[in-house]
Order: sequence, then C-alpha cells, then structure tokens
Amino acid sequence: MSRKAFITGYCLRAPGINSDTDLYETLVGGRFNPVFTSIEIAENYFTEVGLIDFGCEDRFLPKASLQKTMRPDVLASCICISELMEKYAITREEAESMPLFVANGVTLEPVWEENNAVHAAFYSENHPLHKAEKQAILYQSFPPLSALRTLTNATESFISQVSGLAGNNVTFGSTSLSGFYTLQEGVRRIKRGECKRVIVGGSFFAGIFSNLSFKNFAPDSRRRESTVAVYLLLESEEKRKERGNHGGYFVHEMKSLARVAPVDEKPNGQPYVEMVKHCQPGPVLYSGGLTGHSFQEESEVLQTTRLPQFSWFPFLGHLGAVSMLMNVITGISLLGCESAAMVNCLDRDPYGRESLAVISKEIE
Amino acid sequence: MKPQKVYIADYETISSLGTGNERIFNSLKTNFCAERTIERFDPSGMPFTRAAAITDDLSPLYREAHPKLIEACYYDKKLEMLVALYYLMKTRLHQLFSQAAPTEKGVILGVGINVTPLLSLEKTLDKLSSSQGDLYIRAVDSLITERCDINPVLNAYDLYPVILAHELQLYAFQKPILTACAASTQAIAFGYDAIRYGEAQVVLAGGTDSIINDIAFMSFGKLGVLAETENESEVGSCKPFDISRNGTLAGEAAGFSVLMSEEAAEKAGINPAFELLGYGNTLDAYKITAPDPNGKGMARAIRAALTNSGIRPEEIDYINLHGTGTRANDEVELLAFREVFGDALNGIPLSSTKDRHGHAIAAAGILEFNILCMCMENHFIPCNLNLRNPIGDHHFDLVMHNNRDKQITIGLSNNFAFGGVNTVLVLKRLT
Repeated sequence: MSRKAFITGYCLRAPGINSDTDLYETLVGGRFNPVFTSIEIAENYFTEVGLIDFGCEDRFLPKASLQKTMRPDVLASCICISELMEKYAITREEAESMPLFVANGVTLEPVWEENNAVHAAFYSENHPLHKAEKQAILYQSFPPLSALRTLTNATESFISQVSGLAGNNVTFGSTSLSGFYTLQEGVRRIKRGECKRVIVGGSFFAGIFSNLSFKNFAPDSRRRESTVAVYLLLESEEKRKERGNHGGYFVHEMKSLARVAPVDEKPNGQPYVEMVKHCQPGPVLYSGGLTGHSFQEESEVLQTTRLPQFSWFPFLGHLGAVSMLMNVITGISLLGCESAAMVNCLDRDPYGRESLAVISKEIE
Repeated sequence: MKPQKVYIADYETISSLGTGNERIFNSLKTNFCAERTIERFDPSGMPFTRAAAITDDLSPLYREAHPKLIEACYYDKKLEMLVALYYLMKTRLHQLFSQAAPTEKGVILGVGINVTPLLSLEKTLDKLSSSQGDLYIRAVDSLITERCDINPVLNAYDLYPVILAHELQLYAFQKPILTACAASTQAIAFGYDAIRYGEAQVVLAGGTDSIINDIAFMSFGKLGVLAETENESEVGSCKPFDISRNGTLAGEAAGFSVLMSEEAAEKAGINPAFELLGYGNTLDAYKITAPDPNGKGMARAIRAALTNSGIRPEEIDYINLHGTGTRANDEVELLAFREVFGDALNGIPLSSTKDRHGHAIAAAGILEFNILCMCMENHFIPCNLNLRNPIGDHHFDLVMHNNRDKQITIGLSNNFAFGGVNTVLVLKRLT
C-alpha cells in the first residue's frame, strides 16, 4: 500500500492557457490573453464565456470524423489525455487496466444549435400545425448524432476510445464538488494499493445551459465562466521510485463538508469557516463560486487567515466541475516557484458544500 | 483498517411494473408487460409509438413535499419518481438512517440527462410565440426567476442526491453518477467501496431516469436503438436475445438500495437478507457508438467481479443480464459471459427483464439489481418474455416460455452502458 498519492503530471486547456508552461508564465510573468465572447441568453441577460484554443500537435488530435461528434470540452479532454499519455509514457497495455475518474459539468450546451433547428421546425411558418405534423418535422430535423454530444458520459467514453484507458471508471457531475470527488477517488485507490497509476480530471462546458442550470443561485447577475479541461496523473510512491523519480508533489490532505441546507433556504452564509481551520501554512487557492458576490464573500473570509491567496475567478470566472482541479494544478505550479511547502486548494459549490485539498511538496 | 462487509439492509423501487417491490414482483410472476402506446406525449410522426411508462399517479405520494419541488416534478419525470420513491419509503429510510451520525451517511445516485421535454414547455413556448430559433432557451429562462436551490427546470445533477441528503442528513457525501445505462450500477459499486473502506456506515445508493419524452425519443430514435413499432396492436417489441430483435423499449424507473456496514447493521438490530460481495467495472476503449464486438471490456468486468467477490463461476445460480434487445448488445454480452465462464455457463439460468419494464437507462442498474433481490427472496427466475428464437449456441440456458422456481444463493446483475462502460455486481442471499 502506498502512503502517498503523488501528482506526477497534468495537462490542461483553459482560455489563454494551453500547457503547464503557459500556466507558469501566466502566474509568474502575468502574460495572459484569454478570449471571451458575450452571449445573450435572454433579453438583457448576458454571459461572458471564455473560449479554449485547441491548438496542439496533430498527433494529439482525434480523427476528424470523431471530432465532429465531440463537444468542445470533450475534444479538449481527449487532447489533454493524449498529451499526458505521451509525456508520461503510458502504454496501451498499461492503459487497459488504468482507472479513469472524470468530473463533468452540464452537457446540454451542444443542443443549442440543435434546439435552434428543432424549434424553428416546431414554430415554423405553418404553425399551428397538427401535432403529428409538428412531431414529424421535429424528428426529421433532429441531428442523428446529437446523443453523442449530449451523452453525460461522452467525456469518459471518448477519452477511453482515443486513449485505450479501460480500467475502473466513473463520471461524477455536475458542480465543482465533483472535481474534488474524482481527485479523492484517485487518491484513495492509490493509497489502497488498487493501482499504481490513475488519471483523474474533468471538463466543463461554459455557456447558456450552465447559466440556466445555475441561474436560480444568481438570477440577476451578469456572469462570466470558461470552458476548461484539466487532467492529472496520480502515481503511487513505489511507481515513482520505480521510474527513478524523486521529489514532486503529493496530496497531503483532503476534506469536504457536505452539509446541505433545506431546499427553500440559501446555502450557508459565511464560506470556508470550518475549512480554513484545516488549512496549512502556505498560499490559499480558492474558486470564487458563481458570481462576483460569492467571490467577494470568499475573499473576505480568506483575508482573515493572513495567508497569501489567489483565485482564477476574476480572470476566467466560474469553472464548474473543474474549479478544484484547476486550483490543484495552479498550486503545483506555485510550489514549483515559491518557497512554500504546501498549498491549500479550496472550493465551495452552489449548494454550499465545501472542499479542501492540501498539496505538499516532497523534499528530496 | 480491515475492509467491512457490505449488506443490503432494504430496497425499494418504482417502475412501469408497479409502484413498490410487492407490485413489481407480482407483475413479474404474472408475466405482465408494461409496454403500451405512449400517452405522455404524442409520438405520431415518429417510427416509435410504444414505451413502458409508469401509469400510476405518483403525485399523492409526495403531496407534502416543498412546493418548489412539486413544481419541478411537473417538468422532470425522473425527479418526480425520485421524490415519490423517497416518500414511499420515508418511514423505513428514517429508521434505517437514524442510528448513524450524519458524517457516516452518504448518498450516491445514477442520474439521467437533464432535458426538459418540449411538450411540457408548450404553453410557455406559445406565450413566446415567434419564428425565432431560440425559443427553448427563452422558455426555460422565463421559468427560472427566483433565488432558490431548485429550478423548475434544468437543475444541476447534484440536486437529486442533495434533496435526499437534506431529508435524511446524509452528510458524508452526495454524489451523482452520469454514466448512462451503468450509472446506478456504478452507484451501488461505489457505495459498496464507501462502506467497505470506512468512508461511510450507511449509504443510500440507487438512481432515477426516464427516457419517455419527446427529446429522448428523437435522440435515441435517431441513434437506432429503439425498437420500431411494427404492429400497433401487438405487445412485445423488445426481444432480448431473440434472432428477430430490433431494438430496446423506452422505460423509466427509480430505485434505492440501502447499503450498510456490518457494524451499522448490528447497531440498528437489522438482520440483512443480502450481502454485496463485490463488483467489476471497466471501459471498452472501443467505439462510443458500439460495444467491442469481442466483448473484451465486458469480460474483464465480469472476471473482476468474480475475482473481487471470491466467487467461482459454478457458484452462480442466476444472472440477470443487461439484455437490451438491440442488435449490438445482446450477442456480445453472451460472448463475454461465455469467455469468462466457459462451460460453467451452461447450467446457469440467464434472463433479461427489459422486455417487461423497458430500458430505464441510468436507473436500469438499480431496477434490475432490486429485481434480482426480489427473485432471490422469492426463489424465482423470470423468463425472457419475448424470446422465441434464441441467438447463440443451444448450450446457453436462456430462460424461455415459463418462469422458474429456483433457490438463488449467488446472483449476478450487470449493465453495459452506451459508450462502453461495463459494471457487474455479485450478490449473496444470507437468510
């Protein structure tokens, strides 16, 4: 059994960030040029959406025919996994038994275009039609492979198809807590000795449906969010040593507080009150929640800890299922260039559920 | 820490075969088939007119629920089934979960995709009537106006376990699983892990899903997985393992299985009827649209389930197969079992019950697992209702024509999801 689960490597796609080098340069050098687009969801209700760039070497791209059936977050996930597998020499043979734990956000965004077609058909000029006629038009106008793009396990299944990963698996959804759960699942499997290597990660597709799904938590806000994919390779201590690898980063502690409020009440007021008690000396990376208001709330509480703090929220907005994982890889990047030995990654989801992952630097 | 044994303390189900286990089992015994012409929406214009829908009015069960929840249940059938199931089992659930501390209790559910059926939005769409293409978005948006944990439509998947967590104080975790047809099977598997390795003492595992709505019919229909209606007056369109099978039957269900550690069962004074021995869980790594024709991923899951459970193939008394009735699944499923079991498969009765209750997708796993529990409790093996000309070699014991009486000590339940997710559970009857 391994006492520690190491984070050996990671790959990501986020607006303006295509690699670990990009991430490092963004954090240290302040070079950051994300691309955003503004979408009008309804009259006077806009959202800003961060877009990812799929630029990569051709060998990491899935076949063109597959790409057509993938959501952007799925495509980004497949690219990340291919990069990760090559970089860390994960063979097809090893992949067959390697676990894959995925967090996925709202997956309906791709039906946006389909819905346009379907509803144009539904409310065509001939409207009102007899229901049977409407139904026939609807059926005819529905794209045959729509199900692949809306499938809730599309990320996991496409990754498996392009990479050969075929071990234990799950897809958790859909709030930011699911990212914490995937990391926890991977760490536990390694600590129990079930596997030597595991891939955990997730993707989030920002846009209209995400906004609608979470609109009840912030009905009046102009929001910002970004499509993101983040994947991590976790390894046992033995596997690392076997590869002659020393040093690195491991998951020191994971905690979650999943106390939920009654359905007619707002989530608990002050964020992270319990979680900060478990924070270690070192920077705090936090998610910021859904809106500028929740970001402000979280910042104020964390300022009382006097620990250095950072959040992607002002830059990228809400990152859904991937918030915690983005904090974890940011923490690793910071540990690589700062004297701190530990970073605290905090998240609070819209239901007020909080989670903490403390990442530590292994001293050689 | 020593791994804990995992028991099934109780279970309950709502499906097209009935509301509650008793009615469902009675439907199984009398060979009731829930397939009928769809009434929930008008399927005319589509090549499919039949489904296995729940016809019971569930609303009396949950009339004491929060008004916001009741409103959301109108738009979301899977939420309605989940809430109804909770109220159906409420007294028992509170009793079962009262002994453990909130941080020792969790909930994990397989949940299907969140779509709002077009026709339930029709009145809203009419109000917004125009020829613009974004009406769906505008209709949904116009319904979400309040600050509350529950949207009338399009809720985050987390809402389903969160509602139950609040009612039963399940604060260890609340996990929604999104792996389609294997989602609730995985919920049971990961609930098993949570208890086995001390993350929780009691876990509410299960799932809820419905694909009986216009959007799902268009989506699954265009993929070619639904059985086309050939004869309007003839029931029996879903024919798992039959040479003439041409697709599955759309269904819906919700189910719970209360998983409990040995320690928690003792503390609650429960004498559990079942022990969950283990599971296998793999991916095909083949094509998202079809299972691996060699059944390698399925075979690895079956093999892992047996190994992890410490069970030999010849100890299995019955296998509740996934058996969707699609061209792609059934043949590969039998191939995978033959690969792992070899000749030991010949004496084992095999059947799928989807021909009776339809394919409940994310809830298929919990529905069929609970049916396995019912069969084991009642020494009963359901036949493949619509099977006349079986595929595969004649050595397979695909139960035909009549149900059987047989004691089942060890049973298997498996689900193989679209996208190549394979999950197999091994269950033992204790009393």
